[in-house]
Amino acid sequence: MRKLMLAVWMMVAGTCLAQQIDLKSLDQFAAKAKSKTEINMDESMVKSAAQFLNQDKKDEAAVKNSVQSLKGFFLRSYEFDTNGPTKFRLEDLKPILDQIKGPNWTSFLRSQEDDEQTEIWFHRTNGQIDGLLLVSAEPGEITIINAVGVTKLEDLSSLGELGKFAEQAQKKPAPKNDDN
Amino acid sequence: MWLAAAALVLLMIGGIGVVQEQRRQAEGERAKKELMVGLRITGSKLRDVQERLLAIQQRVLQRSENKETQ
Repeated sequence: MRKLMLAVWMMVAGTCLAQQIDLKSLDQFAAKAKSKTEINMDESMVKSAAQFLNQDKKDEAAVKNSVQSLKGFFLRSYEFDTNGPTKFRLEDLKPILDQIKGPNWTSFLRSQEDDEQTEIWFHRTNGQIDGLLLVSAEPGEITIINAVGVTKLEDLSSLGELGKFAEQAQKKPAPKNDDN
Repeated sequence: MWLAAAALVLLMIGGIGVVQEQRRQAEGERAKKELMVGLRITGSKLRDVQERLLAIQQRVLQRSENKETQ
């Protein structure tokens, strides 16, 4: 009976961890990157962050809807000097992509043009989407996003809206300084 | 004497509570900022993908139109 319980627990633990990708293979690029963003958020951190999101703010409201089912968020984004010595090769993605060879991962999108590669994969448990992996690599930039617990494609559309907000914010002219 | 000691203990418990709440709020705000940055990057990457797909679609359409005119 104990052995059966242990086996069940191991299966459950295995399923929980299966959506999370080990991103350690990217550590070698962190030190060489011109700029980097690294985010590791487990479920408790996501929930804690969600409590502080303001529903009245447009961008935060969009995030609040997206993160309702989120159980983990792991991101690595590195930018390199394209003329520098550190060259990111698509082969460097192999340790990441090897982890999604299991039957629970299905490719949603794969695009490879010249030295640019974009892949979106979904993790499914009992046919239900419960994880996402986005890989975007181009010369001078690599971004890997692993969202655990993403259940609906609609969640992603609101993230797309968030991207729009970010772009609009970038396009906005800098506020004039009265001192000038 | 006992009253003063009790008041001091209450004050200390209250103080610890306030500090803990402040720490919780600071951690929550930091986590929120981190999450917002992460999801902004995700959103922007998804838009990039969408634009790339549209460009591919347009190229395919253009090619088929060119074939038809030939």
